[in-house]
Amino acid sequence: MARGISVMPIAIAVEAIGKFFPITGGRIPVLDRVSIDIMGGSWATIIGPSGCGKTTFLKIMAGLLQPDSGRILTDAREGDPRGLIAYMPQSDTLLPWRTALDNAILASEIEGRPREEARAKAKRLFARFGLAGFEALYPAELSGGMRQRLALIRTFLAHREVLLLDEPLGSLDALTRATLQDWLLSVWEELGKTILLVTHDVEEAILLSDRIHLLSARPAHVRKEFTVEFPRPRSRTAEPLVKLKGEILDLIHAEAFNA
Amino acid sequence: MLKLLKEYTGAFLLLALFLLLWEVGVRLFNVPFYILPTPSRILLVFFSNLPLLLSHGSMTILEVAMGMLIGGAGGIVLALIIFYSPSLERAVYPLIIASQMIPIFAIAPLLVVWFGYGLWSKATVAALIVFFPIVVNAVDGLRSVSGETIDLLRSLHASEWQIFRVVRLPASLPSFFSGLKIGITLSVVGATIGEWIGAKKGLGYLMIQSNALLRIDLVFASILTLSLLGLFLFGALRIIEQHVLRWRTRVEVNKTLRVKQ
Repeated sequence: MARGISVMPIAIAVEAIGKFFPITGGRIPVLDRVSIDIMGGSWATIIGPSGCGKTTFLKIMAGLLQPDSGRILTDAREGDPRGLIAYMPQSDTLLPWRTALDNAILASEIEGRPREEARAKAKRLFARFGLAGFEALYPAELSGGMRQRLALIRTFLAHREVLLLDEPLGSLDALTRATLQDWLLSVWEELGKTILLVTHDVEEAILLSDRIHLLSARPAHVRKEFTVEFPRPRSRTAEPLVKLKGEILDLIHAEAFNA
Repeated sequence: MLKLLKEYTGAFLLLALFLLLWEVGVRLFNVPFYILPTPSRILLVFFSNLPLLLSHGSMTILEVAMGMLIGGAGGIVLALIIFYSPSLERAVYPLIIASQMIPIFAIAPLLVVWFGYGLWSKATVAALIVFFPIVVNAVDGLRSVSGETIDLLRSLHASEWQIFRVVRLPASLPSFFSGLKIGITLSVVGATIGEWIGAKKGLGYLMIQSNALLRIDLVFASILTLSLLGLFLFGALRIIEQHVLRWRTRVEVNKTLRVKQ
């Protein structure tokens, strides 16, 4: 298990994942043979119309739900992904009775690692993430952007090679979001992890990802994939970027009408 | 103490006005003291009988404390059973709710028959009254954790025990304390009822005895002692709560400061 020590980033192959949800008198298909290849150390983004099953897909990736068909390979191996993957749910899920620092070390605590050591390590990340001086505050005393950064620190401190981020910036205002996008990118470049991001923000997807996987309306399958080759850091207003954004948006709208 | 006076100025003024009207009214209409004594007389009797009142009060406190302990522990165990076992919940919860329809007055004499005139019959009455608010609030608290938080912990491979210890237990504490605070006031009532029905000691016993002797001033002094006792227990519980939930205390204090600015 890759933990603590730095190893080669992990590649993920999602092979024809299918999932049904039971309803009274039958079942409805949610995921229809979703297949995605993610290169080790790359940034992959999943985008799609709302309610298409993105969160269900992430939960399967995180090992919280079992797929009805298909499989997920991490570095060509099958098995419980939970030792390899850190999952960040849509809401920040910070524990209100814990200080910022003690929220950050949650994963270490679950794994039974010494608390003081974890705290010392987390403190260094607080400085790196612009939260120095806020270690002893409670989540309710932090701003929305700070809470989200804290949730990201917690995700990083799980020491997994793959990060699953479910709309991590979705609840923030446009300005804070733009700042955190730049910042997230620099952190990713520094840490060299594989990231799978779910977002409904097309611009965010283009700014950050190596590959964008566009899901169809429910039942979701991969409608189209885009490789984003513009060099980083990318400008929100560069012409090819704006063009790609238009192309993806058109496809999403078409999907939304099909739903 | 000064802060307390300042915070509850209105309540103190209202109480003072009420006592003044009482004092004046009784004197004006020449009501005999064995029917309705004046507040000043009650206070006098209270202080001159302080050792007696305290000796009976200590018994009542002991009953309340034991009742809280038994009812609290039973309530926690039941809450955990209800929370973790849906089938037992369906079996147990309706019965618990139905049991609350039985007036405690009705079974208190039975408890005296079964557990005697001493401490345990009263502790049982108090425990029976206390456990219900504790069960209901503790179950609510255990259920208050969001599915996403549980998902997060599962994704970290946390065991059920870890999920309980790290998330559910601390998340349930605020409503658990609400249950305790309701319970502690009710348990004073429960212990007093128990003492009315059959006891050798305790403030409820003292009230019944004094009432029979037309020592109404001593009845009132007992009521005063009981109220002070209830206030003291409630205050002690609140101090414990503020310490255990200091994260919430601090967040709330900061919020009021911000509003004032």
